[in-house]
Order: sequence, then C-alpha cells, then structure tokens
Amino acid sequence: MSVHNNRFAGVLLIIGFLVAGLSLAFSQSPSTESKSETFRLDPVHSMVLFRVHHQGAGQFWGRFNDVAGTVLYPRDDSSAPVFDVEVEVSSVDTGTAKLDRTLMSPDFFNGPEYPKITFRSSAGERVGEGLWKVTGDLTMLGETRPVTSMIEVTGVRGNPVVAKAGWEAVLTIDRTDFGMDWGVENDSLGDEVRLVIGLEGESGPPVKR
Amino acid sequence: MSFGQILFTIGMPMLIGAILIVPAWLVPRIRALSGIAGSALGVALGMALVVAFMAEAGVPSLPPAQKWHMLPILACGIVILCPVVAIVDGSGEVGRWLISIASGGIIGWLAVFPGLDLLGQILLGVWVGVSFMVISWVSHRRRGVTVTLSITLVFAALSILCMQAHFITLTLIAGALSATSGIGFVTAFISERWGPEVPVAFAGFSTDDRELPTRSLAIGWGGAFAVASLVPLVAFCGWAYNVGDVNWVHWGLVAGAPLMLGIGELPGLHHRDGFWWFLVRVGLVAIPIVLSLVLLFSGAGLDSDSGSTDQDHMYYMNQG
Repeated sequence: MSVHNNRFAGVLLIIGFLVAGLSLAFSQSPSTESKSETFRLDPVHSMVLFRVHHQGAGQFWGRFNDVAGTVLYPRDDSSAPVFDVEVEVSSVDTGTAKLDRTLMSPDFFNGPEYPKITFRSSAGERVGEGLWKVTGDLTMLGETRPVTSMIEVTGVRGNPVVAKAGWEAVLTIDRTDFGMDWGVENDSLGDEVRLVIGLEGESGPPVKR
Repeated sequence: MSFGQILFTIGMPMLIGAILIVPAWLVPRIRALSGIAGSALGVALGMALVVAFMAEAGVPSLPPAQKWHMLPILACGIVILCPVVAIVDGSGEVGRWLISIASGGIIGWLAVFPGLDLLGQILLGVWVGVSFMVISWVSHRRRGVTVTLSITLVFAALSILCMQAHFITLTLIAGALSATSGIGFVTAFISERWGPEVPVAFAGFSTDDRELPTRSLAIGWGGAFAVASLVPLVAFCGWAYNVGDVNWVHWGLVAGAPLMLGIGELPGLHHRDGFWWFLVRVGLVAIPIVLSLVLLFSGAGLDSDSGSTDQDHMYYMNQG
C-alpha cells in the first residue's frame, strides 16, 4: 500500500514540475503578436524646441513647456509609435516674458483663438533599429498639414508592469503653410522653423503628480 | 519692426487718405457735390484699415482664416456703405436711427472674436449704434477740427493699448487710422483757416448748420458711421486678443471717449465757441483717454519681469 502511494506521489510531482516548467517556458517565449502599450507623456520631461532665423542673422530658439498626450508603442519596437500630442501655446518660453506674450498674439501663434498645437501620426516606416519615419497631421492656427519626421526611440526601461520610453524627433516646417506670415516678407523672421521634440512617456497605471 | 515697414503700413493709408480727403474737403466744386465731403473721411478710414491689414497680413480670405481677419472685410463694407450713408445724411431722425440699428446689428453679428459671447456681441452692437447716434449728432452741430482731432487722439490711444496688448498688426492698423484721421484734422484746419467759402452739400441743414461758417466742414454721417464702427471694433478686437496687461477698463475708457464729444454740444455749451472752448471739447475726449493710459502705465501695464520696455522687446524681436 505504501509503495503504491509513493508511486502516485511521484507521478503527481513529475506532472507538477512539467506544468510549472511549461507555464514558465510559455511566459518567457516571445509572443508572435507584440502588444503596444499606451505611454502617457510626462509633461516634466517632454518639450518642443523651435528655431527660426532672425533678421537673416542668428538662429533664435524658443520652447513649449506644456506637452501632453499619448504614444502607442510596443516595447520591442516591432511597430511604429503612434503619436497623439498636444502642445499648450500659452507655455511658449523664450526666456523673455514680453516676447513670450508677443508670440502668443495673433501675429504668431494666436493663443486666444487657437490655444493648442496638435500632432497625430497616421503612418510609420522603419528606417533602422529604433528609428522610424513617421507621417502625421500637424495642426496649428486651425490649419492642418501633413508632416513627416524622423523619430528616434531614445530608450525603453521598466518592468513588466510599468515602463518609461523616450522619443526624439527633428523636423523642419514652413510656418507660412499654417498662415503664420508675420515678418517673412521683409525677412525679419525666417519662414523655415526647425522643431526638436523630446518626449518621455510612462505606461502602466496612472500616477498622480 | 523696421522703420520702412512702419512707414509703409502707416504711410500708405495716410497717402490714400490725403488723396481722398484733401480734394473732397478743399476743392469747392468737389466739396459741393452731395455725399462727397460727408463720405471722404469714412472711406479713407475704411481703406486705411484694409491697406494696413494687407501690408502686414496679406490679402484676407473669405471666410476669414482667423476671426480677427474679419476686420478688413467689415472695413470693406464700411468703404462701400459710407457714400450711401453720406448721401442720406440729414434725412431725419428715422434715417439716423435706422443706420444706427443696422450698423450695430451687422457688426455685432459678424464680429465674432474669441471670448466674445452673445452678450459681448450685443454689447459691441449697442456700442456701435450709440456711438453713431452721438457722433452723427455732433457732426451736424460741431464742424471744423474738433471732431477730427478727437478721433485722431482716440485711434492713437487705441494704438498704444494694442501695443501693450502685444498685438503688432492691430497696433499698426490703429496707428494708420490715427494718421488718416490726422490728415482729416490738418485738412479741416486748412479749410477752416484758409479754405473756400463753400457749404458742405448735405441733403438737409438744421438751423445750427446754417449758423456755422461755410468754410467749416463736417465729417458727416459717412464719417460718423466709419468712426462709430471702427473705434469699438478695434477696441473689442484688442480686448479679445489681449495677451498683455490691458484690461476691459482701459479698452472701455478709450472706446467710450468719442461719446464725450456729445457733452460739448449739450444746451448751454453748444454756442460757446473760440479757441478755449475748442480745447475744452477736445479735453473732454482726452479725459477718459488719459485716465485709461494713466491706469495702464501706473498699474499692471508695464510689468518689470524682463526689465525692459515693450519698445525694447519689439526691437529685439523685429529689428535685431
């Protein structure tokens, strides 16, 4: 009787090991379909810098501090990040408060009428590892224009529950395409604006800041 | 903002204003034509706004790309309607009330600026209507330089407020309107001092009108229509787009300043003439203007966060 019981216990033990081993193996194997996560943009570590040629001489830099939105992205970089980004015009910051106000006026970003600048990506093409060519719609001053930008995934870090990821984009737009004409004709301010966009997002349950 | 740009944006409307106003007010044959003298300043002001806008922001589109781009479109309407209003000048109280209600209603309906809700639009419409009633009344009782100088001061003050509100294009537009009114003032002064003995050709003359010297001229209902429309329009637009420290009290005081012209024409004051009474009448208009500017500059008007004046910052931004 005792020999029979010992055999039964041995079989159960083997089955237990097999189940545990298989479940562990399956949990660690790469899935055939990678899962995109929603990364909420961290306003503290996200910003948009812009650069415009001033009087045909120096390059003038400014930034927008309040950047919000989401990025849909798989940690394994298996598909293109999908951006849905909003920038508060009132957060424009040149280091000179009076100039910030002028930039918020209808001659430039027209904050009272169009308080937000938005970008929504529509397609992405892989260029290299962690490097994507993303196309989307940029809306500024009520005008929506398609833009394409090289996006670099600057890093992904985290654990199975929460993660942080970063992206950097550099692109050039013509501000007159969006109806921002002031100073172009007399060459006091350039038409081309270079944008350098640094984004950091966090996935997982929302955290109160 | 370069000197050349200012010269073009303000100088071009001035030049057009001079071409329109000087012959209409100084050449006897033209001045005697019905509706010409009474519409010259109004048409010149409407065109000044359109030309200044186009010099800064290009040709406006229909529908307007931005809400404030409605300004030149409304100004085009003023240019077209001014001669009509000038021709019906003196047609009586019913005509005056109709123009007042129609101009206030149309402008209040079409000028939809950010933050201007239905109540705000009604207020703008009423402001335009009341302004027309007062200025058209004054234009028949007080000829000469008083009205044109007062209007010049009002638009100049609006230009200062717009600058403090960081709205460069509207600053130049108000500047162009002030400069064009200034052309009207100089022309009225020349007319009164050395001008021809020609009465303005209005359809109807009140007793008061006949008492006035024939050298004098009036801005007419056409001019009153343009001023009554443009002053509240620029003020409400500046208020709606203000990103500076200019609040509704500052805008309201300046937009209401032309109404002070009515005080100088009240019974008991109307027949008092001479240089000093001219100064008193212009001074009445200047009181709310000065009050507005004193409140602005002594209060929150010039913040010291960057340690520089607005002129400095405009220079850094635009000049180099």
